[in-house]
Amino acid sequence: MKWDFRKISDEVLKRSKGDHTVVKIMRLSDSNTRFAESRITQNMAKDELKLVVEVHKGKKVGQYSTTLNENVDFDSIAQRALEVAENSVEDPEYMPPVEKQDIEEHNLYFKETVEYSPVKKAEVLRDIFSDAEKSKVKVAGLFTTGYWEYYIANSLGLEAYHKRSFADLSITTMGEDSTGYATATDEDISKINAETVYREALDKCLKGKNPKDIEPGVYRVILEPEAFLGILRFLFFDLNARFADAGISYFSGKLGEKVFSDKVTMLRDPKDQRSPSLPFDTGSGFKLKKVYWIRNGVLENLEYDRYWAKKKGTEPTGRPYPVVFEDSDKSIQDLIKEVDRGILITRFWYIRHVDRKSLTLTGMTRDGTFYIENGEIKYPVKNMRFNESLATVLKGILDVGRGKKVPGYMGLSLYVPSVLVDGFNFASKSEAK
Amino acid sequence: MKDLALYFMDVAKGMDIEYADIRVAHYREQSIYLQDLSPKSIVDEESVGFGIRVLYEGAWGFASSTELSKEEIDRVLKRAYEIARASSIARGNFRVRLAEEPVHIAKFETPVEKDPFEVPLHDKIDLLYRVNDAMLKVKGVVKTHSSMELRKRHQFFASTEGSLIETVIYTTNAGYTAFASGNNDSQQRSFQDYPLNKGYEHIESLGLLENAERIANEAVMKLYADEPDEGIMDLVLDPSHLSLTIHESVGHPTELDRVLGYEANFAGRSFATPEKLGKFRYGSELVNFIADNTLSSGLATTGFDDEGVECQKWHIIKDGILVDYSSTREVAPLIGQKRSRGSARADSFSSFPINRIPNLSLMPSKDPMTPQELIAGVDKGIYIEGRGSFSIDQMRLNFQFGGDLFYEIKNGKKVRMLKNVIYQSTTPEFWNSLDGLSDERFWEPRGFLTCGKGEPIQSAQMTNGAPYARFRNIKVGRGRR
Repeated sequence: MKWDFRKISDEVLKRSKGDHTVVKIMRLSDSNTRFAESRITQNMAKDELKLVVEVHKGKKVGQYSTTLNENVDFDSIAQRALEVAENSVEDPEYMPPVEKQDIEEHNLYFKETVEYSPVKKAEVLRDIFSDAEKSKVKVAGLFTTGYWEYYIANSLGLEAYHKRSFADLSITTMGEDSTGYATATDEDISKINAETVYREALDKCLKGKNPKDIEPGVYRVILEPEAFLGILRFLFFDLNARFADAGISYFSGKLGEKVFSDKVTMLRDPKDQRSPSLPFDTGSGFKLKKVYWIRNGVLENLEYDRYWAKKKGTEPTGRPYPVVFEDSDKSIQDLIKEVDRGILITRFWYIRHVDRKSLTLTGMTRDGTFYIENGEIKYPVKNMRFNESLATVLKGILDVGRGKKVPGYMGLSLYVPSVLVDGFNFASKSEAK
Repeated sequence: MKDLALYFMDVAKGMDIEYADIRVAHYREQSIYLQDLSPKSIVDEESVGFGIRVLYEGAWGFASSTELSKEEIDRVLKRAYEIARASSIARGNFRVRLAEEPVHIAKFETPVEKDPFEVPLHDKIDLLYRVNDAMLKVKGVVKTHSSMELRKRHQFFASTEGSLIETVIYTTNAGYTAFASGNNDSQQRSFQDYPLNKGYEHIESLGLLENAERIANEAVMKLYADEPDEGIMDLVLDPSHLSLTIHESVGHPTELDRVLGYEANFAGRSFATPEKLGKFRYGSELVNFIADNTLSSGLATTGFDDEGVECQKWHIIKDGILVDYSSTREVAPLIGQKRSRGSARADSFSSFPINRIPNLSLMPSKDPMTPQELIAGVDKGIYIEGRGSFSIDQMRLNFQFGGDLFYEIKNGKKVRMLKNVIYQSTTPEFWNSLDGLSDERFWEPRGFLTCGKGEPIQSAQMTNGAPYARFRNIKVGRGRR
């Protein structure tokens, strides 16, 4: 399908009878190869094109959304969006569309990624499955490649566009009584070595054989990047300024204060190649700038939407993610050497809020949990449930290791390091392998 | 859409493949979301498209498109075929063999009294506006959210075996939350979603506005409630809470694809392995779980699943013993079953159907029993309403749940509100501790619209009904650290 996004937008804008109109067009084209039990189980390709038309009538706003195809009827689409707006109620927090912005485009589209075929994936996986059989290990995972495009324009002259390719690979290895896990992600497929990812997951699984029971309690822990991101992403919800101002967030009344360890610096930046955000806000199209949410442990910024920013006399920020969490040159081995007695965690599973106000979370360890003593991994341990406040974790970060890109949402990766945390509370044991 | 499905059948039958099917679908959805008195998102959405599944040399290929034309069917069918050929490179010695299913030429439609899309949009927004307004008038409430979702799915399924099935499914849902702040604390209380496959008459029957002030008051009361004593005690769980415990600790572990390792990379596996069938004591003798995808208004009641298998009713746990699973045409034969249980569902024409939890419900007591009588049998315990925090390990053993509203039970009576309660157990230990159920008068068809599973993640809907139930000697703790 060949589509000219600007032409589509112009067709809608010239037909719209709203006071203002915003047009958003999204395309997702991806190819997902799923595997389990050392064979491909599902192998899928998708190509979706979606149009969203947002009409403003006075202080009423309505959206009509539809998939695009050759039978598209722009008159009908413009009319349907108008009807939704007219049937809505006036928004006391109404904001008109944003004016034209000066937005730089960054090239994050790699043709080789998009053209990486299901056959190539199958050949790579066949070799991995064959090797795993020799180690008596089963392999499961997901190998995704594709791209997405996002276009936004409005009746005030705004126009912004972003196109990005993505390649994600995650592998779980399973033995008799142990499992291992590893991931890789990048916009550029040439930076992903499937063999290396598999070897990392295999190594965890083989080293995890015959896990021992240890008693739940508070331990010093090293969280590898996948594990750390698992809990860190819960922070993104709570950086919301309105929740903070309403007194229902951990960050209520803490803007500008030192809230976490000096080692905690977390930002979002469209130009940071470690994990670049979009250059504009997808909701309304305003330009996104570099924002430090937390710098050296100090809460520098909260997330402001356009209405709340205007009310509070500040600038809107856009969403907190994707984030870059500042790292160091230290390897996991370097961090392990710093631990007298502790636990190395590969991955967490089924993490949920227990209490939002205190940022208390619960979840399980998974796919590679090891006991550390005197700076060395001593033995694998059985999985455990944790109940711990994310705030306690971020206050207790003693050191950070080297960062890596970890798969995030919709082709957006996040850059996160391993962290050494002073105290982490395990509440109970599990027999889950 | 039907023309395209028929065209697909003609073209695919002539190909060098073992099997193929198509789903051509039109979706309509209205979603309304208000924060306080601000309508944050009012969206009317329509989407059309199709997805084609091809089985070649025992391996799957799948491709989809939003372009509805015969030329596009040709292109996407070819692509799915090529992908299936690629899959066959890495299938080892395994070949997918589908369980047999009769050919169906059929139509199924959700019975609807009031088409939700015929109700004026303004009336729906206004209802939520008045709900939020009522909650905001309660002192101590600082923020409110409310939402409504109305869905219609019109789909044609066709296969190279000759099935041609038309389904029209309606789903309606609404709910809201009050956030309260004060007493150096913040708490929330929700009127939790109670979705069903029904028309707008379901929304009108929920009592949204009638309950708004009560929900808001309870959010404020939670600010001043005490935290629980920690220790071992009894629980009485209401249907709105228990539906989630059922979903996580019975629904997911008895999905046969998960049991067989298909979801090992993300959603995990299961302790409920096939050698346990017919022998394993999952729960006490009072525990009966029936899967029923023919349940009136059930969220998985679709007539046929997304691979053309007719909806069925069957026991998964009988008198406490694990006796069956939910399954698809691919996985059922792997444990020697001749027919799929009809649990393959996809969240879109662009998604591959996977093994999903059916309408799976805990059966009520056959003898008369009220919730009050269950509570009267507790010396020291906690009564829990609604859903809160939830987490379970990747084998579905160790779990921890919170809730939305808690009362301490002492000497057979609810004595005071509590907050920040959690309980921990393991699946078999928990269900074997069940010693009381209320009767069918108190059974409720609670359910879910956003059950996540698969990669890329898919969302599915199902009803997990329950009566009130009592559990003995469960580990209770405080959620806040």
